[in-house]
Amino acid sequence: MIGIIIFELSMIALILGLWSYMKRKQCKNATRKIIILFLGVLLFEIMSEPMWRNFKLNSWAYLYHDVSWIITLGWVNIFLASMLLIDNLFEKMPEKKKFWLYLLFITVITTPIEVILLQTGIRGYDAVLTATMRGIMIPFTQAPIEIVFVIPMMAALIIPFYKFVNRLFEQTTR
Amino acid sequence: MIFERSVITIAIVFLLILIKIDKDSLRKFGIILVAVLLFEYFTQALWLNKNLEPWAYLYLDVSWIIAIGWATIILVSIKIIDLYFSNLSERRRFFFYLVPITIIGIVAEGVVLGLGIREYSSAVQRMLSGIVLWNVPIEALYYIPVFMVLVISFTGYWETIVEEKAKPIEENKAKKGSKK
Repeated sequence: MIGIIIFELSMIALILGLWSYMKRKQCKNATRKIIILFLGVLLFEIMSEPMWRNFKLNSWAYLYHDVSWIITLGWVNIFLASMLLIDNLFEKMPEKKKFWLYLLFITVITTPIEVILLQTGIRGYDAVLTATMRGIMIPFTQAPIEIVFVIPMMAALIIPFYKFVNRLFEQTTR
Repeated sequence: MIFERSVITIAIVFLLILIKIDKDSLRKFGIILVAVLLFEYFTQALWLNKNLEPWAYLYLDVSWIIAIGWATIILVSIKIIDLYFSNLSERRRFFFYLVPITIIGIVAEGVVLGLGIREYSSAVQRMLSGIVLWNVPIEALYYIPVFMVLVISFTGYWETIVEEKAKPIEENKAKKGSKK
């Protein structure tokens, strides 16, 4: 139980850390950017809710059925940290190339986290989802190989949402 | 077979019309199709696409016929809004796009449900309220706009990238033209 509270609090601490980092770096509209990314992930989580199960979290961590804002924050942390890292390391790189790096970083960071969440029983998959899986596991784990394909697919839809909606706001506030 | 051929014919007819209005329509259609396929693959466990010809499936029950159907609805709706509301800001048009897409999408969903092509998985059925709107679960009023927000954003993002890449080429062409 203490482990769950540590997990939940660290998700909150991480987002606060990323927010203050963005503010320190004079990143424009940091709060709005985080809200847009949170909204993008949350829409996705609600949409795909029948496929996943989020167990063992404290009751305040749930929004609706087993949609958890803490899990959403976890995704936001990974997406935001990956994008900030790539944008800092490869500042002059064209957006098209950076997009593929975002997907690579997000997949590399998320895969072990998803494996840990599965093994600790926080995350589970519904039978309708496991029925579409091939039964091949990531070596040395009990996690399905499909994670490696699905994470970049999810990111490939959420990153454009984040970037495009931010652009819409920037256009109208100019 | 009639359904598959009808979808292909409708997509070709609309694309030919749209290409006359905007020469980049085919590229936009391609980008939308990629987004729809990503989404269909990701959520394949939620929906069942049944009774289509074997060549209409890409992987498990992810169908490219259903995907081009959605892509046509989306592109046509975007073009209609761009045509009639060109004076509105992009942000407002973004929300306006969702109106025709949701209306046409609900009608199309009703058609595929009625034809027995579309079914929902047990996990989705557990979540449904049981209220229907023209044979379609009322939840579609939420699911279709959410799906579309992600697809339209994907299209807008990649269109910007493609246009930015094309800018220097077009500027060079214009410079060469003015030198002549």
